Amino acid sequence: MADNTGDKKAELLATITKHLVNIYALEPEQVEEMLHLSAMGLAETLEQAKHALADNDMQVLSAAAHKVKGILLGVGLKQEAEHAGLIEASARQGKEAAYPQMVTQLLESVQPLLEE
Amino acid sequence: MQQALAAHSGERESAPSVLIVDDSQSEIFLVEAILRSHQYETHSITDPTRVLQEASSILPEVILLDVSMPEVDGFEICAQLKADPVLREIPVLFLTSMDDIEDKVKGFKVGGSDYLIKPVDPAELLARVSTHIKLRQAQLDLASKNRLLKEKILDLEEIHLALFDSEARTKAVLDNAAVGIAVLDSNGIYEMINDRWAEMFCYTREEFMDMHCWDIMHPDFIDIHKKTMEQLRSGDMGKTYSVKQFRRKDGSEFWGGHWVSSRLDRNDTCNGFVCVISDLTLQRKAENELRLAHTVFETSNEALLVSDSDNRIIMVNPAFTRITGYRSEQVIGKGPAILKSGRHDKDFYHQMWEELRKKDHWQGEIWNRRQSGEVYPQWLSISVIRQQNGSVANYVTAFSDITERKRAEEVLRRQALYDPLTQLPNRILFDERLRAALARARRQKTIVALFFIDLDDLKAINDSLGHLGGDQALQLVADCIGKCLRQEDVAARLGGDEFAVVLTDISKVEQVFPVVNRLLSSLAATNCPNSNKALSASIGIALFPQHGDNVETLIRTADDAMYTAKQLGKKRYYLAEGQ
Repeated sequence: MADNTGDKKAELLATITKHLVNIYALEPEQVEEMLHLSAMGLAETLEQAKHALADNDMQVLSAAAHKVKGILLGVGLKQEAEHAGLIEASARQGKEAAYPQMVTQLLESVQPLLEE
Repeated sequence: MQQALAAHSGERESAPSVLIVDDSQSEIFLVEAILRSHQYETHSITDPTRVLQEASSILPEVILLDVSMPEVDGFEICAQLKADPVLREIPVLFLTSMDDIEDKVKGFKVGGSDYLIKPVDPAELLARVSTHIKLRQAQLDLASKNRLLKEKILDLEEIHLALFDSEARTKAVLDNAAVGIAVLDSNGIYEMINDRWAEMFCYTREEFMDMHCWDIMHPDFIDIHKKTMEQLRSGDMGKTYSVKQFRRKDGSEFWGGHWVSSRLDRNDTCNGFVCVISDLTLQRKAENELRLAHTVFETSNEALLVSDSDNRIIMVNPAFTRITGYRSEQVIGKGPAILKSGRHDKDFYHQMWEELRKKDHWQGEIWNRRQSGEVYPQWLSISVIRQQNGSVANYVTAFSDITERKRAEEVLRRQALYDPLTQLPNRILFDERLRAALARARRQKTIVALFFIDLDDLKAINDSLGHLGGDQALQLVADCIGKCLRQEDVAARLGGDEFAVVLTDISKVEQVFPVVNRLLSSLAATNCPNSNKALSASIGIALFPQHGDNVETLIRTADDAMYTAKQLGKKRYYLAEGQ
């Protein structure tokens, strides 16, 4: 499990690094800074999402998901960003959905980044 | 992109600045990384409520504004920016992950310039930012050019207004000038005239436009004028003045002062003429009048003296010098008082000035003194010349020497009032003197004695000595009478052998007798000419007021008394009786 997790993290970071270097031509130290800022932003925003879930505040949940989507798109995690976009759109439309599971799933998908 | 930025940077000294507003630090980091790598200066904030303050502080070329932010969204921020008079021109590019067309429309409605979809594509970001900076710069350039253009338009408007004013002023000056002014082309054909020119020659403006300048000249002056124009045209002469005779439309002529100058173009070449004519009719008339007045002044037999308002002499004529002996340079600046004789008292001059003040004129006889010291009579008149406001401008004095006239008058007076044989007053003067003596005696309560004297035996004297002898006898009688009287007494020859005497200022009758006795004695002591026979007379005496209070009564009474003396034997006096 530990190896699997480690591989997954390495794979995620490699994807992000490749994206940041190829698309934005960032230097290694800028990549590091970007990873750090993105991790902080994600952590803070996902925390806001959890509180929104607890408060059943769909508007705040949608906004948090929107922000997470932006951060993830910035680091090239398109699949995870789409997941966040789904939460954002559903919450904005007030749809009935398994939001706790969806948020948890999103959190897990970006966990390796949050550990940075 | 680098080239675009370089070109952009070439137009400015500092790097273009971009303000990034996003609540996500990571997204700001990415955008800043892209922009900084292309020499943009970036500023970023995550708190959307600080946008206006930050933008006002740095005045960025472009603002990149996230749409979805907590508390306040990008659209509202943009609306606030566009409401700010300083920040409204800064282009706002929205950063959003939205691709909803309605949101885009909303963004443009609140004043957004463009959209960038997140995650931003670096090339697109740079291209859009660069484009909007260039657009902004172009707008600024355009605004600057527009401002300059407006300033130029304003300047031109001012110039136009000034020109309009200038033209209006010029027209006003031309139309109100007291002289005629005309502008001619190089052939001497009229281009423009003022009102006075038309009025002077009695042609209309329209008629002048088909005329040459010499059409209004007397034929004698046309050739010389054409030569003058040729000299002006060639530049040999700048301007000229001459007096010419001009001809009006009705054929009447007048003299005018004629200025002609060349009108020059930008190359200082003569392309026409400017003519100014002043009608000299009145001036010439005034000159003639002045010349005439001067001639009269210089040749007058009357002395003329002009003084200023302070009565200081400013001019005199030759007759003045001839009469007074003073040359003009000896009297100019002085008062006429230097001519005073001293014969008149202060009251005389006071009355003279009083009349001058009231009537602006005085005339009368006055005694003045020549430079030689001789006192002589003048007939003098003074006139006051006043300014329009009534104050005195000058005094004009005219006088003539009336010495000869006075002398002639005196001769006539003597002839009329004195007996030519004895030089004693005649009956007329005697009558006048007697009346005066009575009037004085009436006032002073004194006595007047009237002697009526008749020479005894004049016929016998005439017969024996001839009329010449008779005349000599009468002259001797007159001498005797004169010697016996006081200065204030009056003697007269009334005619033939009749004489009369008036004694005045007598207080008592007794004062009369010594006089009459002295007279009889004097006659008795005087012989007839060429004879041993003494002269004698019979004298009648009447007294005022005792024998009458008027001339006629007294003369009659004295005459009667004289006859009584004759009857009593001659050589005696007889005092009238009665009363």
